[in-house]
Amino acid sequence: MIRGLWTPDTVGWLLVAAGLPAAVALWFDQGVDGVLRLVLCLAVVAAWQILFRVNLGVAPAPASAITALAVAVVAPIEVQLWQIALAVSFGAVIGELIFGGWGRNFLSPGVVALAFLSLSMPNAAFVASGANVAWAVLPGALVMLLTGILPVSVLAAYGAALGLASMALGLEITLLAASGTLAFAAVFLVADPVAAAATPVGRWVQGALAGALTVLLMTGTSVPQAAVFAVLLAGLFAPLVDQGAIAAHLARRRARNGRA
Amino acid sequence: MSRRLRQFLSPLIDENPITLQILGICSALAVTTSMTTALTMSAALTAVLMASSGIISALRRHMPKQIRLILQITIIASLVIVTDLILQAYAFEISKRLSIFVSLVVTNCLVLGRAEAFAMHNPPGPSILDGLGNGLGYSLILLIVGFVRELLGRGTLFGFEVLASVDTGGWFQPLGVMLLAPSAFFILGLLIWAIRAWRPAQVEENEYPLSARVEG
Amino acid sequence: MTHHFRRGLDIVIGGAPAQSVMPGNAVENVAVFGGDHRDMRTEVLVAEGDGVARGDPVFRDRKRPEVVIVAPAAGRVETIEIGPKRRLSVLRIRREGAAARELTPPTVPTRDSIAELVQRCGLWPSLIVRPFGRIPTPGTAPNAIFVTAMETDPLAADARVVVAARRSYFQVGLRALRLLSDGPVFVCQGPGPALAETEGKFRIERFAGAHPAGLPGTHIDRLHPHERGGTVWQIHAQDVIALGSVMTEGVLPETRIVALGGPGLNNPRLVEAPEGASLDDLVRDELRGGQMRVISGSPLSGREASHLRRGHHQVSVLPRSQPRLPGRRWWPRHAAALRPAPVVPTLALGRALGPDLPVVPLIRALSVGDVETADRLGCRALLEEDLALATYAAGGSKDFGALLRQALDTLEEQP
Repeated sequence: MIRGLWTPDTVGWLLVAAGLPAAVALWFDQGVDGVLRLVLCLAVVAAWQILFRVNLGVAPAPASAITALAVAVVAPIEVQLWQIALAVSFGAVIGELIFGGWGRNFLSPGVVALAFLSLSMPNAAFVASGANVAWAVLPGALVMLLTGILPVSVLAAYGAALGLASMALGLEITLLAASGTLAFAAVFLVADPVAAAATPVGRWVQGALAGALTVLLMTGTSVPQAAVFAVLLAGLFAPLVDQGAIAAHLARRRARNGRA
Repeated sequence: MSRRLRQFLSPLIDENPITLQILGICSALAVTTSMTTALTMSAALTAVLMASSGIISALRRHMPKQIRLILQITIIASLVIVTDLILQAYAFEISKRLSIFVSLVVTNCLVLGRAEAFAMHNPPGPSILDGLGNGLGYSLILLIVGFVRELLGRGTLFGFEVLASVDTGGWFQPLGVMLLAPSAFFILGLLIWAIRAWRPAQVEENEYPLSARVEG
Repeated sequence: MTHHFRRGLDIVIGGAPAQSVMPGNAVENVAVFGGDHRDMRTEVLVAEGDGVARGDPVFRDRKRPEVVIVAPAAGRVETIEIGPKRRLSVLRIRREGAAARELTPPTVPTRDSIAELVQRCGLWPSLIVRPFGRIPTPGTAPNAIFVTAMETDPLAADARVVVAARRSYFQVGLRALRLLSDGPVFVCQGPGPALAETEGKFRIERFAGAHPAGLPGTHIDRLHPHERGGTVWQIHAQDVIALGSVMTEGVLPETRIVALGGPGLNNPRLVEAPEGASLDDLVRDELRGGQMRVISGSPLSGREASHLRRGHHQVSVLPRSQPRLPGRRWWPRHAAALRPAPVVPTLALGRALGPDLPVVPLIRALSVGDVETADRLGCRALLEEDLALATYAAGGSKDFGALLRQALDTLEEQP
């Protein structure tokens, strides 16, 4: 009869609110150009949302603004605007809207858009953002952790795996220099509540996988690209990890509760 | 519209072998990075398809049922070898890039599929027409995918520069992702989506529809 | 033994009832609903205008004539409404007098004699079978019986107060139930002193934790998980007390203890009221100003109703949110119909299920009607009430309980 507070829209607006400081940091770091890029990305996302709302009845979701933010924050500066628009379109449509909108996608649409950009321009210089963005991401992340929107286990596993793997490979300095990108990726891409694994065990595995892969890929490419592909791969494996976790859980139950 | 004409036109869109029957997409992925290869492949396939349909149809009453598949393959394989040799003779550069795919036309489901489904039951005339229609349907999709991939991936069409790229002092930054195999999948998928949005009859039934909202 | 339930959510709603039984309004009208017994094909046994005594059968199941529903109070049958497929919709009784049908408890209690008594006194439909949540087939026996002697639903009556008032009946009722089960009888209660003395087959089990720690689904998952197979019956402590009353006095108790709670009430408290009491009567002159909705049952799993529905022992009065005025139309007229809202897996949703099942995958399977997967994930262990908290936690855009019922109906039809 009564309804809880956490409707999909509430969750979405909170995600957007958590992203606002990162948008400000973008302004700080990249000036008006960065803001213009963000506005372009938002406009593209909004256009697709309206198109899908009118033609296919897909509910527009505030959380889709995160797709735009992710591209604006992580994409290299020299990318042409039409390519940014194409990448955002790709992420929004293929990564989210064709599944029936935010909440039914299995990959974070921001990651899809960034992977598209990254594959398109293997030689572009993805520049990692530093501490400004990291600090900007922090308050939103805390609020979302306290309200239970971000899965703690994914974040914890991601952080732990990043730390351990970078120590093993001696990459701590690279890691620290890219703290902004990694923090942003952790909060908005890895721990995306919709795209992350849905079982408790699955979440630990997925977070750890994303962290370890990020460090591993870092040896061959720039940190943002490594992070994007690591999250993409971990996200692709999330349903499989979930299946495994569910099978193990059910098997454990059967073993414990089997007919006496 | 006469029956013949419909037989020829329907494989172009309504019963397109690639987008409706999802046949022959392996080669559709491999050869569509440029328009030149896509066009060559289309021509080769259409030629093989027409010839094989005609020959198999002419022989359809003489083939023992048990070994018909082997005979069909033999005929198709001979035609493919001939096509490959013609390519090597007259377009050596392209044949170097396409040779393997042309040889694999033998195993293209489309060719064998039309032979089994149509040529075995119809006289040579309609069979050749059916082969031509399906070949053109295949070509149409290949050329569309090739157009998008080459234009966005290199800024060229048939090797001629259309959009001046950054490397040569222009403005265009090629989209590298278009030259990778997944992009062909995406373009093909979007194309199928567009066609089904336009022709809803092709849409399959949804096994697990989203439940309607239950008012609580 | 104490079971600690570590998931669950604390749901804070104002207007928690004072946990002591105080005088309430006189209840003039009672009703029974055919819709509360969906697996009965109803055959009405009385006519409009007939006088009935408390405990007189008013309708029964065509297929299983032993299964009867009795009048909750003495009076005159005012209206009988028949719904689609000739099923009883509602039967209203205006109270008159205090006549009660008297039954003779068996001198030598055996399983058959007790079962017959439970059927004749109208308490048989208070037993609920899992899986599927039906009325038990007469002549069958479960592998275990679960007596729910605790409440964690918001605004509910403290079962300790309820049982304390009629403790001897409770004990007698349990003794009778024992005979109906092949296996143990679990008395599931909150932490603290035992609510009954353990005798023979029945065991006291204590559950501590936030809602849904008090739902039978949670208890059954700990003590008789669905993988073990067989069937279990669940019954509410107040029905056991009623059975105890029939065993000792020969008549059903006149009243149950009902919690009146919610921010819409002046004086939230426990009152005595007959089953099926009219909610208008119960909350007359007690409402605060403003638009209120009166709910039979818990704020989570109850429903807006005119009378107390079967198995409900609480009334929740909540402010009615203003209906949204039709605002500006944002989308063109031909815009496609909106698809149902998705499920976003939040922490709250992950903690919302009593039984230890994968919540989010299960709810996703139910949302798309994938019965096979839902079955594999253990939806047989659940009834509608077990998903009420999940519905709440997900923002209430979809009623998962209704989706579960569809899945269970499909599973039950399969061989």
